Amino acid sequence: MKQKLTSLRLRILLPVIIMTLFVVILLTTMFSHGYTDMLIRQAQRMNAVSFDTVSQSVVPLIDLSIDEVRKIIMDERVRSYARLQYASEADLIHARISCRDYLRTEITRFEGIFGLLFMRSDGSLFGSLPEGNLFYDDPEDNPLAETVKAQILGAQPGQTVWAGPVSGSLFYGFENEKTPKSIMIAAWKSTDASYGDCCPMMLMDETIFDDLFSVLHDGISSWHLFTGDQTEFYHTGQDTCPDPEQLISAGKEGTILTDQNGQSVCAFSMAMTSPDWTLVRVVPMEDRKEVVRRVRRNVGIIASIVFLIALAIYWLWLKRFMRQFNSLLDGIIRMGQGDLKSMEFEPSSISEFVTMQQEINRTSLALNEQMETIRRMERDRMELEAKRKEQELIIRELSMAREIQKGALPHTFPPFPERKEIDLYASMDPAQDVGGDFYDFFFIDEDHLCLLIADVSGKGIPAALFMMVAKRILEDSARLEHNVSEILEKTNGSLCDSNQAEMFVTVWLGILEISTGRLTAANAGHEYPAFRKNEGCFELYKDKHGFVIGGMKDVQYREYIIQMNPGDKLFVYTDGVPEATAVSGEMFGTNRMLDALNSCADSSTEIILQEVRKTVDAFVGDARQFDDLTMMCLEYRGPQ
Amino acid sequence: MKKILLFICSALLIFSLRDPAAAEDQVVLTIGDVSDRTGNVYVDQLGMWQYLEDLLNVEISYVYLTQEEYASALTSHNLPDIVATYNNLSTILENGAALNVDPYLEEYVPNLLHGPAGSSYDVFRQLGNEGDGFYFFPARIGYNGVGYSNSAGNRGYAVRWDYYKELGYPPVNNEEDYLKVLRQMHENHPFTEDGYPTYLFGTENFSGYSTAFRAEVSLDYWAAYKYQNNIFTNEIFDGYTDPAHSMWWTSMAWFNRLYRAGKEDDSFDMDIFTQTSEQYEAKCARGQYLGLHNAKGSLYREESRKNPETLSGYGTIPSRGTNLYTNVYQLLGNGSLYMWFISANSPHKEEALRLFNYMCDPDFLREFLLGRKGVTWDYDADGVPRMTEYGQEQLNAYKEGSASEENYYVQWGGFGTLPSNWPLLRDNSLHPDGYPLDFATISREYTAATMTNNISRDICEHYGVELPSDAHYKAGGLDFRNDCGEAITSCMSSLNRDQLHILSKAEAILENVWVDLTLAETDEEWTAIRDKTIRELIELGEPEVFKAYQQQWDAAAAIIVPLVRQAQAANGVEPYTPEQYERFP
Repeated sequence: MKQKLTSLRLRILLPVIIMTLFVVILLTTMFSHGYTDMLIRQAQRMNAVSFDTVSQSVVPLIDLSIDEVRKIIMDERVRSYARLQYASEADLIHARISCRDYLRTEITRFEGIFGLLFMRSDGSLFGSLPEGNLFYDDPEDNPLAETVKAQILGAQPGQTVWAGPVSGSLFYGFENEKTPKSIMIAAWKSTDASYGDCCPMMLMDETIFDDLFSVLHDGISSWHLFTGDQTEFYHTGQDTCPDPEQLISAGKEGTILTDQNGQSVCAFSMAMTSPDWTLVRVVPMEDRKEVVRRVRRNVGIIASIVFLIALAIYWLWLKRFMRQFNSLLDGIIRMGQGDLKSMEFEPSSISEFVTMQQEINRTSLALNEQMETIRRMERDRMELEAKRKEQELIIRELSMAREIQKGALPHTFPPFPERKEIDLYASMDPAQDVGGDFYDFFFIDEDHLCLLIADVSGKGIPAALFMMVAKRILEDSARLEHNVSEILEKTNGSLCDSNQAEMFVTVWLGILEISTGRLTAANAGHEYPAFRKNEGCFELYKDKHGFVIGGMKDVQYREYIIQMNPGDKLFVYTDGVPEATAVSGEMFGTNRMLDALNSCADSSTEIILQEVRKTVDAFVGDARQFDDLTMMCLEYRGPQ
Repeated sequence: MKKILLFICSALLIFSLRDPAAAEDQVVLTIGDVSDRTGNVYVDQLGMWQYLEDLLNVEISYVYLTQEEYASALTSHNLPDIVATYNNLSTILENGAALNVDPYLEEYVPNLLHGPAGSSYDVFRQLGNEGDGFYFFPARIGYNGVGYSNSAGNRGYAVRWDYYKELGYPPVNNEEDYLKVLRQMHENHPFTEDGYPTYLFGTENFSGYSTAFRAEVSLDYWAAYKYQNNIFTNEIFDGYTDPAHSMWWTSMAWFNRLYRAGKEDDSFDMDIFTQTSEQYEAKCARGQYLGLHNAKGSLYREESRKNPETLSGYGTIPSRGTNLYTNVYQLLGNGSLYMWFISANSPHKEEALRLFNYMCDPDFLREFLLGRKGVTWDYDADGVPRMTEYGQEQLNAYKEGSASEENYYVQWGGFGTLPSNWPLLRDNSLHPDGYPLDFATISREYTAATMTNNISRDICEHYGVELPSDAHYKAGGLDFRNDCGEAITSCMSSLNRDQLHILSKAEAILENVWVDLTLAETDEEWTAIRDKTIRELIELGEPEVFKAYQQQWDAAAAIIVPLVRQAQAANGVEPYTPEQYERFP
């Protein structure tokens, strides 16, 4: 592990070491070889190539032009005018016009050739320039300098001579911005007798060399063309020409000179044979201090570049290292945050990182399995807890509903303590927290007590809600009608209109006329009531059942009348009593109910109901109460 | 209620049918001008053009086409909406490139038919063949020159004015007088102040036969071949074989006189046969020529830089022997030199037609040229159009060279900023109110007030007149008011190929003989050469060609001349009577 760490450190430091070594080597190389000598050698190499190119191009270029011009002057229109043998001035003018038109057309064909002139042996001159014609048939009018004239006229037949540069005097005052400042004349004495003694001249301006030297132009050095008399005819670049004599004698190996501005230059020269010109190249050089400054500056620049490159490489490597490191760190953080899946790490060539990556992945997978188990258990617990809470909520709500339901039923006993004519007691024990059974009793008026007991189909909340509705309707109807059958019919109609849940209710309804003991009752599908008459036993009174309330509209109910005498008792109940089921599956039944009633038939209504309840409970034992258990008992004591 | 519902439904229907892109994209009307670029480079960005754009609800793009671009567009039928051209007219018609606007003029261009430009349409109706269409709108109809000028004129007996003044302004009424003056000047000044030799007379080249001073003969500028007309009677002359009425033969005689006069003292410039334009211009600028056939301004420009009071320059001597080029009614505008047509393929024909309607609408043009009414000009209580104080101030500053962006006319344009062929009516055309469209600068008062040339002022001072043109009239000189040559020539169809071939050969004969004529040593020699040349021309068949040309000319003149006379009457220019020009041969 220690070795690995050392290797890592070395790798981190490697780019810096390379960079430092490179800079040191570079600096050593630069100073040891000598920057000045190097530049000179480079200049010499460049110069050799350039001279060759120019020397191979300049002369053919001029020769080509001369050949072309020789063809032009062979035209008869030129030769005839050169002879100047005319009978009249008009003939001379005609010949001049003819010669002018020919030369003007021809001259436009040549770029860099500025004019075509002809000088006779007497010094008279004629020819054409692009913007003017020269016809100086009087030798006195020849604007060329005497030296130039002598040079041209002194040529041997067939020999080409170079004269000039000549001034703009040729243009005789119609110079303009297009007139070249420097014109070189290539003249040769004709051997063709048809010319007479005439020298054709080709006028060249510097543009003939522009294309050639523009190729060689390097932005630093300048090129110069000197004629045989050391007159500069053409140059490129800035005009900082040192002494022409020194330049011309510089030679091909190069000579260090000082130019007109006091700057060091390296000059190279090459003599041409035809024409006898000299081609010079001048390369500016710096002085020693300048060289040192330049070396320092260049070294500084190179060192900076190297440093930047090394820094860039190092930075790239470090970036990659940090990316791998961050990848590992990220993996650990993700593992700490519980992300325990197999992780994709940055590929790494560092073995330590690879090992760490594998370890992280292995640990992560193991932890992931354990965490998965814990999460599953926690999920189950949470589900159970949720269910429990849901049930608690339901229970709490049902408990509240039961209280509400109980509150809706008369629950104060004795209910009418001032009415000694009756003893009334009722109870309702729902099978669930709320039930569908209900009872009610109330005085419709001073003499009529309405009694009712009902059992809504179904159980639980729906039954309880429907019970509440049915109870309200029954009660309202009973308070409006004294006719039992009409109460049931109206109640049935109302419930049928709004019975979306299609529930129904069995009802036993009776109205006891207190003053007479006459009980008018009707049964809408409910359990048979039990009566105890004349201090006998409770017996079921099998009245005529009508159809349940809410099941079908427009049902008619038949009421019946039972005359109750003082001491007679009425026991009404819901099916929860006879259908209370024991663990064995046996139902309590009406017989056991009657037995229970009769076992305490003389007791108060409260005791009777308690006794029945006890008997039922005893019979049912541990079995779950399946149905609501509702009972109501009335003892008619007669008018007091 | 029904009507309201109907209106709403109609409005919704129209709105829904409307092309939303068309509503957003403004029509760009392209104008291609084949002529040389003139006027303001950014003419279509000037206020005057933007005013026109607003009226037309278009954007105008004005471009100059090179000959290559024009030829390419013509061939590919991809021309701009409106094109100005001076050549290929027959090709344009053959290719169906131009729209026949005749059916649309009454509806879209009523100003052409019922205004001053209507004469061009009248010419078409009377000269055009049955069934031919009206394809080309003329450019700049109206008077070229209004009878007065602040320059000394450039045609006539032009001399170096400083040398002429030295001589005491001797009167010159014919060539004899002129030659005498020139020789005297040469005697006094054989060399210029800079040492250059002087010559009696200069001309650009020897084919410039307009140099002769035949006041009754029309200019060679628009004369076809050497058939020039009498500017008073509009008779056509055969300039090849009728030396008595030929400007060319008169020129030859004049140059022969010059040669013989200058032979002794080398005052005849032998270079005139061979010199180039540059050489000629250089000699003019140096003042080497004592007389010129066409007064040039280069010498005065050069000398006035050195000396603001200089009189070194060329001026034309007020004379009864030459004609002042003014009052030339150009019935067909610039004639065949420049024509406008609407491209047959243009998708914006209606806009183009409406543009031409504006371009000959005096009300619009008054504003187009001078700026908005109520801003730079307005009518006074007497109904006379006058510049407002603000307008005059801006105009003065503009004319004095103000380049301020704030200057009204820098923004608006006008006064030389339009391309040379706009609008269809000349600026000096009379508005129905009786004043020129450009009443601000076209007036004697303005012309006199802006006269800055020393030579012009010297002429006025010496001859006691307000303007140099007044001196010309005072000396008995006439102008070109009777001349219809340009309009007649514009209406004539070309000669046939054989006839043109004959005239080409005739030109070659004359070109070959001019040196001999000029350098003839005696009158006999000159006459012999002339007669021999005329015989050659007759043998060539030139007189038959002239007869054919004369027939066409007479037919056209019978229609054109009365129309020009009508225009003259409408503009209050009285034509010359035979008594006024009877002194001319």
